[in-house]
Amino acid sequence: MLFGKNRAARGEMLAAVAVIALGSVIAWIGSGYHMGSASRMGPGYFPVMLGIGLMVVGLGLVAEAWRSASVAQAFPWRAVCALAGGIMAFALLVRSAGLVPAIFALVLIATLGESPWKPVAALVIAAAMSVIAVALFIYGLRVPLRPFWW
Amino acid sequence: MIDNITLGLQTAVTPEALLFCAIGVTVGTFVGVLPGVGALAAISLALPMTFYLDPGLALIMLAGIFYGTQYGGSTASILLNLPGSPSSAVAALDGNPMAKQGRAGVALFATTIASFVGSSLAILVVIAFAPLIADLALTFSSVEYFSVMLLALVAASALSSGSALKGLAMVLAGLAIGLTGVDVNSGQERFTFGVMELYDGFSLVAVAMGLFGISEILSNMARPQGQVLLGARDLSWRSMLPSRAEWISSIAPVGRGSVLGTLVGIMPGTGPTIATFMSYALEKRVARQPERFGHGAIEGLTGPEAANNASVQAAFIPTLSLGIPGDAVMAVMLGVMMIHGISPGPTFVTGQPEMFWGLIMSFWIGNLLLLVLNIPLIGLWVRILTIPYSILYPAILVFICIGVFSVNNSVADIFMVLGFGMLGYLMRLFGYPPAPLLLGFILGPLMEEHFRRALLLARGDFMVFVERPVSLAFLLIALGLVLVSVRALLGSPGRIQGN
Repeated sequence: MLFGKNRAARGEMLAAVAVIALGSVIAWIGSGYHMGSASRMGPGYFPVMLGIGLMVVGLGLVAEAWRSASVAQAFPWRAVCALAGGIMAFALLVRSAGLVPAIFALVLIATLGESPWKPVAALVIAAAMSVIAVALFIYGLRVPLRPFWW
Repeated sequence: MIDNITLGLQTAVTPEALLFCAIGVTVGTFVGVLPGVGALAAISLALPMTFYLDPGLALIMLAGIFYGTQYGGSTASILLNLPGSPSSAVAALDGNPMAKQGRAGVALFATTIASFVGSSLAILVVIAFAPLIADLALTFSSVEYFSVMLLALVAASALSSGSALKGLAMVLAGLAIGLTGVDVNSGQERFTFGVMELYDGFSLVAVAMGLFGISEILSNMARPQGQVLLGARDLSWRSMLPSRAEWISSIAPVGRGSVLGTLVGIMPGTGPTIATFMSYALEKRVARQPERFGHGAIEGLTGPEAANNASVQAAFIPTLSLGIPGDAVMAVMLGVMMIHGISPGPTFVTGQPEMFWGLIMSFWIGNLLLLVLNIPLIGLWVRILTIPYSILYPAILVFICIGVFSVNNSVADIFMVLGFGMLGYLMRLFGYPPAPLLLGFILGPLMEEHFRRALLLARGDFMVFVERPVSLAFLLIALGLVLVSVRALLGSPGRIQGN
């Protein structure tokens, strides 16, 4: 996968290979299910067909990647980790600690992806969103969530 | 026919009916605009409230919510590249570039008008042809359904502005992801890896919000900070109206979109998502300058929007006259009717004409209300863009997280949103389009079902797909699209694949 061209073309190639890999995984798992025959299809039939299709398309993508010239981009690690962390925090807190703490956690952690981090702005947004969310979702749409843990 | 219209108007113009219609469309628009909460969530949440209502009123309100969200969903798509529902994803393709060029008001106005025209046409068709339509829809078997779905998917992959091969890969991947869960026919768990939360497959809202919403936020965060998405624009009436040239160039797409949407919506088993994608593909195909698509071509917005709303109205026909829901939302409507003791089907149209025609008439009134409601509010929606993005995206995040949770009351769905968000972002980086994946995801189980049934009835003979004329027609069109894309592919070696 080491092409002289540039990092992005390698990335394209990697993605194309990933498609082939995905196709083969799907086909393999699918073949583990009962296949049946054309007139009486089992659960594995369609997945295997899809997997094979993906592998074929993947080959075409490899050919495309071979001839492509892409622009490389830096991967935004900070933003990705902050966002992921915030959403996970929300998911873990929303039932146990309540909607408001979850919102605060989400906003405070996710905005860490910005440089510089502005905690005051984040707190204000979190507070405003908490009010709106509680009014709209808990009282308005009656989603079964508690605002706080009591 | 006139009798039916009068009968319907009598039912639809009562104060209670008007009130619930107004409530429905307002709630629907609002919910549609909110990213993270779509028609499905809104209708599911409104469902318990309808238990105490008269069934006719309940249906009027829920229907109002449904087509209301189609109006609102395109708003979020255009302004924020965040579709309110899967069928609105197409609006983002040309609508969002238009917004980024400072023509958000124009885009929203055009969408509203196109939506209204699409709905009106579909309603007229319903009024004129309801009995005939029911007969036509009955002749479709699984063979035709499979072929039309295949066509829709090929169209979706061919229309992606990047490489058609990438679009095709995404379609196939989406189909496979859609198969996750317990297979209804055999009880076999597929691709669940023993995870209990995946027994019903991935949540549609989680997939849609993750692929589009979260990945959009990520890609915006990766840009330099402190950016306002759009400057404050002059929001007078003048700036909202499309230019004369745009009006003229939109007439044909709206016409085509309305007709296409009506036809697609009538068929049981197809929904607004298919109609919208097909309309986009059609417009791109007949346009004189297809390169403009994806960069703010108004035809790419007005055609699909008309198709969108037309199919939503037309989708009620098979649901009400055959009892076969076109998609998840229709299924919920069906459930509501059955809870109230109404069994939709051919007997519903003839046996309870007041309710049927009352409902149809209320659609039209609802669309009028939406037109009146939305145009003044366009200024409001556009003003949302003047809020700095650093304030906007946390709010959107909160809406997405809560919205996704609320569909199934499931924390696992929130993790799903994150997962698909990451996937969506990686896809963006490498130029793989998310919309075909979403379409494949929605159609996966349906396609398999029709494929299986078609072959079962044909006793394993694959030729059945080309032997039946309607199916053959669909397949030939699909083949045509494939050939056009392949020719484009081979004709330009070393294309620049930037982001």
